[in-house]
Amino acid sequence: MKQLDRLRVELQPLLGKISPEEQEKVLAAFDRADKGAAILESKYHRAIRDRAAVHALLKRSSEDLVQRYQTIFENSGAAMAVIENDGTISLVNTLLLNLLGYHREDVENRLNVFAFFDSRFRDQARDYHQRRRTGDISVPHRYETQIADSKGKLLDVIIMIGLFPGTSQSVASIIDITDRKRMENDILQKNDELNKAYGQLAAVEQELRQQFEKLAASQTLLQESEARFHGVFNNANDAIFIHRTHHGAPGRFIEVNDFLCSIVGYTREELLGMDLKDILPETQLERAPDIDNTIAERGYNTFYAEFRKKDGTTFPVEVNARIYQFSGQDVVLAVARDITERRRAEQELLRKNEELNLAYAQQAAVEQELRANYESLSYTERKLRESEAWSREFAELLPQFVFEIDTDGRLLFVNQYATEVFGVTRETLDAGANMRDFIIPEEWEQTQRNLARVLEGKRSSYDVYHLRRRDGTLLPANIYTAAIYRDGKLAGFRGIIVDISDSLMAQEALQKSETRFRELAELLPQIVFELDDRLKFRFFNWNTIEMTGYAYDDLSQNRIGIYDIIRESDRHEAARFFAQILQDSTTGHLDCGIVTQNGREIPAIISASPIISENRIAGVRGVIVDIADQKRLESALAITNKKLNLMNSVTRHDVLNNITGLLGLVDMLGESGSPDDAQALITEIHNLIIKIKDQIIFTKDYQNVGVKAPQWQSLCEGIRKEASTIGMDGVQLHLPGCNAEIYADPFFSRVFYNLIDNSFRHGGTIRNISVETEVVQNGGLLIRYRDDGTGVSPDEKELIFDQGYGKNTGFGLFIIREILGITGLSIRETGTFGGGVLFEILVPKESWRPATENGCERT
Amino acid sequence: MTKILLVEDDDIVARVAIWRLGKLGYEVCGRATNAADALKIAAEEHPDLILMDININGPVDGIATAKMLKEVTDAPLVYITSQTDEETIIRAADTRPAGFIAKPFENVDLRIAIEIALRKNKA
Repeated sequence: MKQLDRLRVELQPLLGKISPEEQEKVLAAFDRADKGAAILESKYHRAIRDRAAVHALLKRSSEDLVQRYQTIFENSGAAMAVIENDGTISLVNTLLLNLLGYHREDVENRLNVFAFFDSRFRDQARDYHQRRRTGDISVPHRYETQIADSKGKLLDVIIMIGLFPGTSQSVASIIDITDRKRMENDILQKNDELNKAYGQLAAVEQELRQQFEKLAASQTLLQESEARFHGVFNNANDAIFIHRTHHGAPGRFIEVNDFLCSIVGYTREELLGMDLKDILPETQLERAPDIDNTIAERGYNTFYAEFRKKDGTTFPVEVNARIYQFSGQDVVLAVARDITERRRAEQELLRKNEELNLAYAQQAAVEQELRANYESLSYTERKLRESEAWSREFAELLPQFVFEIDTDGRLLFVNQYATEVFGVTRETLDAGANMRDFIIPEEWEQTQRNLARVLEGKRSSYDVYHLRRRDGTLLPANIYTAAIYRDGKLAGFRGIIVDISDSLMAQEALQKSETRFRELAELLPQIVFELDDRLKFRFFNWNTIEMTGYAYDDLSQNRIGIYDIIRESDRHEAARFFAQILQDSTTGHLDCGIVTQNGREIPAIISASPIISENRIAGVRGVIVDIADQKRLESALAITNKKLNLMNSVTRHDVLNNITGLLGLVDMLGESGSPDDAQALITEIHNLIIKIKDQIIFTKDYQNVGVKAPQWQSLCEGIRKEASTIGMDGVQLHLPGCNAEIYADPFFSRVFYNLIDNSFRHGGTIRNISVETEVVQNGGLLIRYRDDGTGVSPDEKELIFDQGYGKNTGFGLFIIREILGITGLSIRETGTFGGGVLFEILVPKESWRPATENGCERT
Repeated sequence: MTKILLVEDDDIVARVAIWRLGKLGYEVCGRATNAADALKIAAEEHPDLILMDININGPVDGIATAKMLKEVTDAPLVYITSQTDEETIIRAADTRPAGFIAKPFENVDLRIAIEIALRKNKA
């Protein structure tokens, strides 16, 4: 406690030098130390009291020491043990057992007392034990040591030990001071901490003292420096000032020197109440933020500016500015130098320099121009000489009359050709030969007119002149002239007279040729045409109009092109045909159909070849030949051949067949036995002869089919006529409501004769025959022939149209199909067997038309 | 007696042929005017010879009928026709006939053709 009090007294002056937190820690440490010391003191006093109680007991029980010994030993309040000479524990009380955590039976007379000591103290204890028994009085009877309990935990203890008098036994009293030791250690630790804190405080004090000494020295230096700076600041020959800066804008002056005051005309006090911008002219204010921003970014800047004096005048300055921190704020220290004189000198220098440059440039330009002129003149002169020589040579070589005349027409120059053809010589020139000597008088006026055109700046006309040759003959020519000016005045004309006699002859020949070609083309019964390379008509003959039906303007103005007159189904092939001619320069022929304006198709052959002009294919030239007659002839030839074959067949088969029968009947007649048989045979022979006659007549009819040209004929009239010929004999004939005209072979009406005849022959009992018409979708006309007879069996519907098929002569339906086929009409049987025949005749749209007397119309 | 099948659509020619064949000592076992009848009679009567017109009734002509008859009889076949064009002759020859009689014919024409055909068939 005394020690703590002393420490508290010593630390008291230092507490005021440490922070409140540190003070609080130190005071807390003192409190804890006080409490620990109080506890220790209390325990110490109790121990003293306990020991006194033991002595009292021992004293009171001196008579029955042996009997009471155990009781006292047990209830002494201290942990005790009796130790034999060899260290064996012969007796132990309960407190010691509890302290060490052992059972009595495990300890008494079993364990050696030294086993309880920590190894560090064991030898010491054994030494004390042995020396004590030798009577060594230096052996302490009380000492602190450490022993271990049954779990190995070390305990700080105070052992008080003494020998029983007259024995080698000792009695040990053991006091556990583990807690007290810990407290003492805590106090020692805190003491160390306090000592350490004190050391730190002392160091701080030392440092403060040193700093104070430095400050005192600095203040002296500063005072000296300020004096020096002030002298420099105010005696400088440049304006020095410090100003604030706010977000890049120049701010209030903080300090200015005398020089700035003198050059701007403000007092120091006035300037310190102003901003830098107050001495900047308006023109500089816009730049000020940029300048200050540059200073802020780089830390310094050198720039030119202008300051405005108090009287409003301005002067240029060169400013070096640097930014630095003053009282925690950015300020700018600037040194400005008046550069008015320097600027003036610079301007003067620049002006002088410009004058010099200008003078030099003028001199150089003059020299360059002189050089250029000289070179140009030299070049021009050289070229002129070359050109003149070349022109003269060229003029001499030209197979044309080259001349030069003055304004009176007097010849000044002519070439060799003029000499040869017109007899103009040097002598005649010298003698004053004139252009009028060569131009016939009738064309003088034309010549003057042409020269006037030239003087107006126009080209010479292509008028034809007739110039008199040396031999008196006239030369047809064109005269091309150009005016000659000298010193801005008309000096004459220069020109060339081109002989066009060959050209005129060629032109004439060409015209004649073209006329012949045109006449020939017009005479030709075909289409003659020329197309350009885009296949547009550029020439066509009159027959083109005649054949196609298109107007001249339609063709000449290309409203109608070549493809428009070609059948649509042939256009693709025609395109390939013309493309090949234009590409390969080949000649070819195309078999196609030509379509007229009214839609009629004409079979034709286009023969065409390329038009070569100036080494390129410039178009196509050709003819279109109407081959309708040729086609008709081919068709007629085919029909004729067919008829010949058919008639051969009739002759060979049918007639010979009948002759076979006839011969047989005649032989039979020769052997007939009775007049009746003979008469019957004669009748049969007669009938056979009639049949042969009919067959021969049929061949005559058939021969005529297709011989005569088709013609328009009334459908209903033809049917009525043939029905009348046959005689309907009670059968009703129904005809179409509207009549139509059919373009067909003249035998067309025989179709209905045969159909009616067949109805009577093969239809069994018939009551009605009707003919109907219907305009079908493609514009054709469908004619339906019906009866109410037997009809045609399905397997015979096509056979009935074969030649030789049938129950009579076998020619009826065959001939019908032949007659109809001549103009593209077709026939088929579509009736129901047992329900009568139905023959459908389809007439193409171009082979029928409504009869004029009724309203039958096409779709 | 030799039995002959006559295929002829013309009644008078058939009548004359039958009369002539009778006079020559042949028996006409049947007469047909079309292919179907010809096949039927041939199958029933087993003729020794067939006289066939080329142009007969119906969709099947005499040449096609001759081909079909070969399926039902081995009897020799002789064509009787007025059609002597090359195309018909070639078609007819393809059926390997035993003879060919051109119209108009007389007794001697029939006899020669029939006898040659019969002898060729026996050989």
